[in-house]
Amino acid sequence: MTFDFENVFNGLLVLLLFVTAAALVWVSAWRLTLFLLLALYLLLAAFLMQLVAPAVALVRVVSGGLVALIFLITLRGVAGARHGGAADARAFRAFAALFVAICILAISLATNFLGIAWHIQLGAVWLLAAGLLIAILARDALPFGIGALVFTGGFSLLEIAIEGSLFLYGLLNIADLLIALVAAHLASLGAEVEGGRRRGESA
Amino acid sequence: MAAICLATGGAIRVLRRLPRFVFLATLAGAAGMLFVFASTPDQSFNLVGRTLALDATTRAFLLPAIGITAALALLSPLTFLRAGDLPASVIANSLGAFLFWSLAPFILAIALDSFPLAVAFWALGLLVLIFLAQTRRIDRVGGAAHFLFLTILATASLWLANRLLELYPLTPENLDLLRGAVFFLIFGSGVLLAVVPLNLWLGTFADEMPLLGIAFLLGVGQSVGFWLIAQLLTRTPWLVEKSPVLNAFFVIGVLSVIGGAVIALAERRDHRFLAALALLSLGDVLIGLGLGSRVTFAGAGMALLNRAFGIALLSGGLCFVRYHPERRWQTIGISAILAGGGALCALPLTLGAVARAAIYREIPDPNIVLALYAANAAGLFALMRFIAPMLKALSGFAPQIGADAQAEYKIIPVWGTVIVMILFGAIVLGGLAPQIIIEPLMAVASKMEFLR
Repeated sequence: MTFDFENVFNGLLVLLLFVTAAALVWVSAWRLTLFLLLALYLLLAAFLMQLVAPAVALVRVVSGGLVALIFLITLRGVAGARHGGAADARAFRAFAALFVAICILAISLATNFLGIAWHIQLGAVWLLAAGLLIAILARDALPFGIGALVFTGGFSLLEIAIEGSLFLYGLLNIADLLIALVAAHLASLGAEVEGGRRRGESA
Repeated sequence: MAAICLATGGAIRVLRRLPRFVFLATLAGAAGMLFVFASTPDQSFNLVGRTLALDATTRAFLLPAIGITAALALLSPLTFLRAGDLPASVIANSLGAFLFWSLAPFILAIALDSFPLAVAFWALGLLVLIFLAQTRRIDRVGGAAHFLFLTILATASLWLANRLLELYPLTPENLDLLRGAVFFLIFGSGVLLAVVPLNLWLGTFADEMPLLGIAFLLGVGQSVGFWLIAQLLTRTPWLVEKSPVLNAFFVIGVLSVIGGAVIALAERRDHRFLAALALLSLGDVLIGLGLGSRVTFAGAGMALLNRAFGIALLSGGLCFVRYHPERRWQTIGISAILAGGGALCALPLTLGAVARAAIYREIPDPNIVLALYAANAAGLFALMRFIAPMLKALSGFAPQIGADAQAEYKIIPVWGTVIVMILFGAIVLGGLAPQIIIEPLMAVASKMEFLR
């Protein structure tokens, strides 16, 4: 790895991506979470601009904006929505994110997957891991959905780097919207059961 | 066809307060799809730069998928809830709409010639299905959310497997690519097919899904997954020679038959029991694929068809039993459960029995065959135990009228009975005259280079 301007810029992008995704693992305030999600989509677009045309990369920002809008509308209808666990779990979340980040750094810098550029690989694998972490730590459908979206963000980066199919890229953006809709649907749907049982269901 | 699917779903959604019209709209949609199916030429055609093929092989798979979806959607008015604005009744009454909306991407997945795109459309269809789920507890993430994430994980795995398989021929000495591809392929397909032991998610998801929704996932959604795997292996026949991928499918097939029987023995809940019993025939399908001969592949195709019919029949029967308390509908329901469960356990006279005979006779180790027959017997015992309380309750029912018989739409169970009888007839006809199905399946198998 040579330390030219391009590497410094890529390093800065990776650092911002690490901080943004780690903050998504850590924060519990919804406004901040949605802001971080939007920032993550912007960073993803910055990464994608190195692989596809800028106009194509910006589609990610559009889908990110729509995803944030879906979550915002859902949050207005869901009373008492919270991001994962209680505030006292923040220390654990911070340590978990830190440990995963160190593992990803150590492994990604030591090995190369299918000749992908180091910063793309590092960013993609970190997002995959952070997405899983957010989903595992989530207790509600909405933060779980955000975990899924962070995961697909990482995978879209990896997929574009190794496959480069624009058709798949388009489908991934559609899938993001569908994932956000499903998560919003699950979050807004009350547990409408009769004594823990649906009509017609046996004991 | 995909457009008709979407339009039919829309019509069902609009007419959801009128179950008779839902039935008629479903019937009209299914008829329209069959007309397009019959009138579309065999040649492949381009759509936004991608090739869609509706050749004989695709048709052999697509027709049952449409048929089972239509049957499940036609059975959905049986679960009609009095019209209301509660999300549960809105979803229950427009269940058929989601089945058709889910089928539309499945049709594209079946017809597309590109594996990663087909997988993407398969995943989109599965995601649509999650809208049918109803969370059981609001204070934690439920089975539907887990299914959402697992679908994404499995799709990512299958895409990576495909990419590694594309790269391997460029560097044939790099066996790591091949190993990685097989791991991703087995994991991705295993999760979405819910084979033992990767079926841990299915129970909690089944709890949150309506009965016909989980039946669609098992009968149609999983069958599309099997189709995609077969297509991938057809395009990469060298994978079978250079890796133990077929052995892996054989092993997880055996595990699924045995595991399915054990789970079914312990299960009393409708949705979970259906999922467990369906594992028996899924295991047969995977064993048929894993044995790697044309005859066993045709057997796997028959087992898949028998499984879809059996699942539809069993779930239809449960709809009668749980939603229509009149004695005659209870009798129809229990009969359908027996017939559907019997088909899943591959009883004689069903298509499953023919499929099992074709597959099991090529298993080299008689001990494994013995274990599989024992597991099927255990599955049958589980079925008997499952319906025993229903039979007991039936003997205590008033002969004429049930609790809310006055309130229900009388014509719906009659139409439902016709659908159940058609499904039963198809299973028995397949068992009595299997050559109707064997010939097209053998024609499909003969085109697959990876088979012996």
